[in-house]
Amino acid sequence: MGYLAVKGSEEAVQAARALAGPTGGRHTVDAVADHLPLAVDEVQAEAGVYEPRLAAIAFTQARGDVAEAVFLLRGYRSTLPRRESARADTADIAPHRQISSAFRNVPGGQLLGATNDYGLRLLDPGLADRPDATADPAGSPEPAPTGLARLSKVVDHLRAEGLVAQPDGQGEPADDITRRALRFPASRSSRLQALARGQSGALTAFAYANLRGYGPFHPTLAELRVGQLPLTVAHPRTGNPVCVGEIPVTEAEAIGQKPNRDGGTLGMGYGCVPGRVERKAIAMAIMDAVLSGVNDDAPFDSPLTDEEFVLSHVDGVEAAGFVEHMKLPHEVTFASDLDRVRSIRQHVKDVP
Amino acid sequence: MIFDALDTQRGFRALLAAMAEPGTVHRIDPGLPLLLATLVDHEVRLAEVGDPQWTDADFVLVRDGDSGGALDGARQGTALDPAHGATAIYELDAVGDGPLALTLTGPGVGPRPRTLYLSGLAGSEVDAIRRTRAEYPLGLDVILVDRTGRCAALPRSTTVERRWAT
Amino acid sequence: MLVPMMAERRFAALAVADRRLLVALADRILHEVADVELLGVPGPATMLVELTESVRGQAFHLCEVVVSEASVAVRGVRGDGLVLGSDTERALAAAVCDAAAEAGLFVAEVEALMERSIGDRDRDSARRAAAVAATRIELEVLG
Repeated sequence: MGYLAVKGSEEAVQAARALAGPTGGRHTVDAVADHLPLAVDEVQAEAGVYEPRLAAIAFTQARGDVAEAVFLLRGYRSTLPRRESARADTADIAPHRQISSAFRNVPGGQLLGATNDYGLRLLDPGLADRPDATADPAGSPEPAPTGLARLSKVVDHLRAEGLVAQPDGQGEPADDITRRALRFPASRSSRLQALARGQSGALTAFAYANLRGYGPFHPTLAELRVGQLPLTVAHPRTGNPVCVGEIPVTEAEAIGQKPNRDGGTLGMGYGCVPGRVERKAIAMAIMDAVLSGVNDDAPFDSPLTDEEFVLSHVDGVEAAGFVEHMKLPHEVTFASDLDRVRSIRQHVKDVP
Repeated sequence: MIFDALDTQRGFRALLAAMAEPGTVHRIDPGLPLLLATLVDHEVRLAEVGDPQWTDADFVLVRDGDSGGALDGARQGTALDPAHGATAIYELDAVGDGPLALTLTGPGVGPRPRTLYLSGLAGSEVDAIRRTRAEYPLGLDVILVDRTGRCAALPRSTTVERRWAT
Repeated sequence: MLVPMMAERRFAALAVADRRLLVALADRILHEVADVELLGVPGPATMLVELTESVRGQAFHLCEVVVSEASVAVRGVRGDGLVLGSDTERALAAAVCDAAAEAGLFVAEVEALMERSIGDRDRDSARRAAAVAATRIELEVLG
């Protein structure tokens, strides 16, 4: 199936572009960055690129179309050189939100952080009559004499009890699907990278399908954390590790029901995304477990357990791009479709 | 020497034109150093024929226009990933004139074959290059450069025949 | 070894220093020191974040972060700057401050900026901790 290259009036194309151009500028970019941070986070998570200011610009330029903003950000990123990687460890996350559904009371308590989950969520038209809130760095609560004590992780307690396996050790080196295309069977690092860059909507749909019985994982959320992840790079002159800053991340761990993994342990799945996108982190943890073969059910046959199906369809740029490419001229293909239909009808008419 | 973004963009443009119209000669002054600065960074592997693990390299440098038949050992790509085939780089005495005449046909060449004159590429090496592209789309892409900064390219889609000019 | 550790602490502190103060100090340095040269081309780049996940200990690439890097020499002494985000001017300012201090110039000013930067970061993180500490909850079952 091929689309055609066609020629037409350049003036018409320019006129069309002028009608569709972005109308927002400096103030909108600031407003997006200040007041729509979750949209900015979603754009960054689906692009797989963290740069909040550029993401806000992309979102403004795309007039609020997340898929288009992701496309712009990924395109821009492809023009930049790649430097050596930074290392990060989830053990170093400084959480400002940490909850568990698996246990009611965890050591240190549950830390709700900034969330609307427990309030009544009704549309508030009065919001349109109020001025924008201004960021107020000075007037925040008095700093506590000591910072947050590092909260222990639920999974560590489960490990101590032998319910969950110890980490495998070194694991394989991390693949990079932005340099070497995803091929199947995929390594776990490739799967995790692909899921982390996936469309929130697609991941949510797949995770929902699993929960409704189209997949074999019956999870409980062991932990959900939102916090700052420190990044470590090698000092350019000494080569020693140095922390150069941090990025916000959302992390989720999901735990299964059947102790049928190595050593009679429960299966688990892991999700992590840059920024704050809780439903995506949870969905990613669910799909990581499913694609890693965690099975809380009898032998299971479902497209959700097929990594080629899941990973090929979660990428937003690929999916949106292919669906929208339908708008390009396909007249040769269609003409031959019509010819075939007409000749079949003619044949049917001719047969006595 | 340090090449900045303007230099490597110039280098890229020259290589792009050379690849798009195989057999045409373009300037990439001062030659191999800018060519390498344009193509090679810490994410790709560059090796000379005979270096340890050179058969895994993304870019293979062939000295003196002759790999001694070892070119077959470079990465050719696979049916699923033909793009993984390596790129061979030759630094020759002359690109654009010389006693060796290559007749080129294929995509980017146009209705009539193009002739590329070279000096310093062994005749047996032309055979080696032909062998590596016998199973197109697998194969190697070839870049030729001389010390005055002239470059040409033989992408694997180009059919190469040789004849000697008198 | 004291000297490498100092360079590392400086590199880290300048990476997160207040932009306005950093650029202002770099401008002062450039005003007073003529012998400053660029080493390499400053500008944005992407950097993969390799994260080790907590379930099986597998390293994977979470995302790329856009960073800006610069490398300069002040009176022949090299300094480097790396900052998160697409901000070449900020990276250059960090590199200039790093090189100057490494060359023994403006040492007190650079160290003051470092202290301020570390202090600001600690204060912000303590303030955030206090705000979320108010959301800590111990749950009881109803009925």
